[in-house]
Amino acid sequence: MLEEGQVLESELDVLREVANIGSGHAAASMEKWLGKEMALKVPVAAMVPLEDVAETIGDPMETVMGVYSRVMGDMEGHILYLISLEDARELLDIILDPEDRGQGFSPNNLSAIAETGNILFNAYLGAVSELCGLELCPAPPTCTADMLAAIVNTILLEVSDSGDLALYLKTEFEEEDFSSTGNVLFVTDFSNLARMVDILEEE
Amino acid sequence: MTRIVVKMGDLEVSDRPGDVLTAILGSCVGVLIFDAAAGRAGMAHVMLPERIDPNASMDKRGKYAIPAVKALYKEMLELGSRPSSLAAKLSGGARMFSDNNLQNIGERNLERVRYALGRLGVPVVAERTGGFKGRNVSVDVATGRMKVRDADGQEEMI
Repeated sequence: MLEEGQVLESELDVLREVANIGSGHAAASMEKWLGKEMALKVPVAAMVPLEDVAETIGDPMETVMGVYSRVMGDMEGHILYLISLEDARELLDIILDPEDRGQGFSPNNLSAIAETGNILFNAYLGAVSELCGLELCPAPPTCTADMLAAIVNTILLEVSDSGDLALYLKTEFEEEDFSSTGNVLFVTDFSNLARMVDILEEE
Repeated sequence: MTRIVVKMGDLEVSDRPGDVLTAILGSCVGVLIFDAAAGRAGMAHVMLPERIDPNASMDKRGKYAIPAVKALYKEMLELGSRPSSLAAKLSGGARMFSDNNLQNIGERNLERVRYALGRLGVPVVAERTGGFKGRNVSVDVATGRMKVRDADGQEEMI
């Protein structure tokens, strides 16, 4: 049972399971999209108090790329992919063919970053769906570049009346020459989070 | 000089010369009430226009627009400011994503904050609000001057 203000080891196990299954899905989707193999690791899976989220991810004042989708279905929520500008460049180096590299953040490149976010959202929400039997799907993503804290705080506002924890996954794409670290945040009302953890624990 | 970070939902007041109040604002609204003659200033980092969940805790004084403005105003008076010497500056309230599904909390925060300031008779003398970009603000407590910087590094003094 998830109680407000505390996170148990068993809940973190559940979260790691979501991370493992989701990462498998995400790597498979990336491979299908790009036609090449790519490793995806999740070195950190945690529940973070909402007010600490920006500090946990990085420097609150740093400019980052943010991909956002509203989560719909059996549970309402918000999902974000946050990635530093340097990691976004590395990600583009991974995604793009060598002859297309070096274009900076062109509209095409931004949509490639948004698509990566979309793949991650579908993969991790898909893992939650599989494990809990809840249908969750992301709306089409939107992308922005802005200060980390300004992006994160704006999303937290959507639930801050009743939620107090965010699911946080640190993601690392790796291939031979490049590696790109990002952050996936799933924010939902506390009652939803508790419901999800309860269902998972019963399995 | 002390840099005082006004976190989401918090409220800070200072009259120590050299102190600087700072906040990073997306859809949140930074409400500054200052008394330049006394060298006193306070800022609330307003998160939400109103409390939706009646069970939600009220322990963060700067969280909801109207209670935040009232608490800030009251604290300025308690520290010795006269109502007639107070003025306000506003920042934040941006729309961070162009997703129509996201409620436009920034705009609603601003509406409520303006209403509360109007009721208390505190004039808004300057603002940098709305738009689509986050802002990093810092306020010199002694003068009430507010530096507003966006993610592109553009800086303005209001």
